[in-house]
Amino acid sequence: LTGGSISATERVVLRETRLEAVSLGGDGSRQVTLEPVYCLGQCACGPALMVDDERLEVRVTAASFDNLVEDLREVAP
Amino acid sequence: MSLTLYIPRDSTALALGADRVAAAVAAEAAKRGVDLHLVRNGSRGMFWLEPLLEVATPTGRVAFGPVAVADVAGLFDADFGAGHPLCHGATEAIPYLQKQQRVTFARIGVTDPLSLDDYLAHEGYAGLRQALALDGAGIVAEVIQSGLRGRGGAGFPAGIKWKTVLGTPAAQKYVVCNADEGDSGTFSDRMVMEDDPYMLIEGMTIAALAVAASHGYIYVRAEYPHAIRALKQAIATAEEAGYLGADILGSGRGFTLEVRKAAGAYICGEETAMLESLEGKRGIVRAKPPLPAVVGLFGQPTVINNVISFASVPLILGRGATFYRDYGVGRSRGTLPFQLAGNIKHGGLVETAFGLTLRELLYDFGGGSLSGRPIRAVQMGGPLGAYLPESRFDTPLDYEAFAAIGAVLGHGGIVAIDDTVDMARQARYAMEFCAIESCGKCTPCRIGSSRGVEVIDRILTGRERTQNITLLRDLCDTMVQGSLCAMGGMTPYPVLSALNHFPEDFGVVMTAQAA
Repeated sequence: LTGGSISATERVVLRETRLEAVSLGGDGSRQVTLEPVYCLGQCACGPALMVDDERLEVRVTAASFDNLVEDLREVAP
Repeated sequence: MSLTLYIPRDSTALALGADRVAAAVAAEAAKRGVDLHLVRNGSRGMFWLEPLLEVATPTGRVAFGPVAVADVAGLFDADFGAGHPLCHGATEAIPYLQKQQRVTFARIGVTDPLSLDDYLAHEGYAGLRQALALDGAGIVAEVIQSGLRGRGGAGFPAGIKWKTVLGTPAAQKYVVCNADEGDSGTFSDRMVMEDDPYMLIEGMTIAALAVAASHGYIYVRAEYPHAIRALKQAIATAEEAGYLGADILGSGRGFTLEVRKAAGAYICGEETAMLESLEGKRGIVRAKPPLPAVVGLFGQPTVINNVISFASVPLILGRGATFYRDYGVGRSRGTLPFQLAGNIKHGGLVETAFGLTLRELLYDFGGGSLSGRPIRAVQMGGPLGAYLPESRFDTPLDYEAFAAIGAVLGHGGIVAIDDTVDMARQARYAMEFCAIESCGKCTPCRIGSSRGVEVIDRILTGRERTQNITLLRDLCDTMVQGSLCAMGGMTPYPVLSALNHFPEDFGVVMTAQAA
């Protein structure tokens, strides 16, 4: 996760901290691990995040982040 | 009916849904029996309009954006006409683009990045052909003449560096591209690598011919998978076509190139730490001298430049040094691809000659803040660059004018910040960043940054504020004077500029009033 807009990034990071607790629940769904990343080269559209070294998401909001995580957890491992 | 459309493959466009739009366009064309020629070009750098779809017309390309999957059928219904609400008219007449001087970025957004034919049809490899007609000294003279200075941040004349490598005898020399782009607010290197990789390859090949180097490395951030893929594919294609390899275009001179993934540490963007990392060691800064131009990679003379520096070279050789030199002001010649980021309405890539003001960039191009609040400060030149208040926004963008106000242009990245941000917390973050990212080799940076965070914390909690501000200034002086590299040596820039320009955020004004 990286940020072009500092305050927005902080809000998403707060959300992530909560998610880390959730993802350890172990209910059979796919586990999501979060790692901070310094920069993804997407500063004009921050905050940004990358899934599995490939898929990029930009202008991440708390709501879009939650939707993304829901989607990711549903995919069969 | 035949239809030519352009949808970018740049990673920002992909993040905003370009692949989904491209798939929807292809499906819609098939459904309607339209003979579609779909080009996946680079990005024009107007990121608030991505995914930007362009249609080829007899009078040039016309732009639509930002296009969502749901817009695709409607665009076909409207026959991609000017009446569609997403239409911006002729792409090159969009003011954001029209007001720029796209010199290095001339092809970016126009061509298919991985098509060598496209590259050749747009002046590609014209510079290399000129270079092959010259000897090393002739190429170096041309680069010196152009006035090109290193675009990574330090602004050292590129040709002088090359001359040193040329003049240092060795059986093996190297050309290394520092593509560990990690400054906040920057993405121009990424765009070159993803959207015009042959330009970087050509620039490095010309450097190799200039100094008689036989092998080169591109040290790319591991977090740039799209750039890595584009470079690897372009290198393979260039090799097949004889633009790289043992015998470049039948000249008898050879140059080979490989991509290396960076180690994921900010310090590895410092050139000597990068060399250590390339050698397979931990990224720790080397003391200079000796300069890398004399004792560089594996102890051999090495040309090290940033992506934009190398990318500027093909045109300098192709059109001549004077063409490039005629852009710019004072000792800042040519153009700089500025990058507008942070809290800005129209974030993106703006290439212009040096000499424009910061205010013109922020308002004429950027359109002001995204939040609609006043832009209170900008940070220019990455995490080690100074914070500039509104009173400095009329400073012309050139290396010397910025040095004169205690700031740096760096790699041209601009992060806009509105009036809701606490600048004292930004100053603390700068120190914390240094504490986290310091390689630890020298004391002022390793210890100074940790003590710096503590001192700022005392200031922010109001403990002996005046004495601690004096202590902070003292500490910053030690870091500037005593650090081995820019990491510790420049961390005081954001810290002190925040303190000097925004003392009220540090509680200084309140204290004065209370007393």
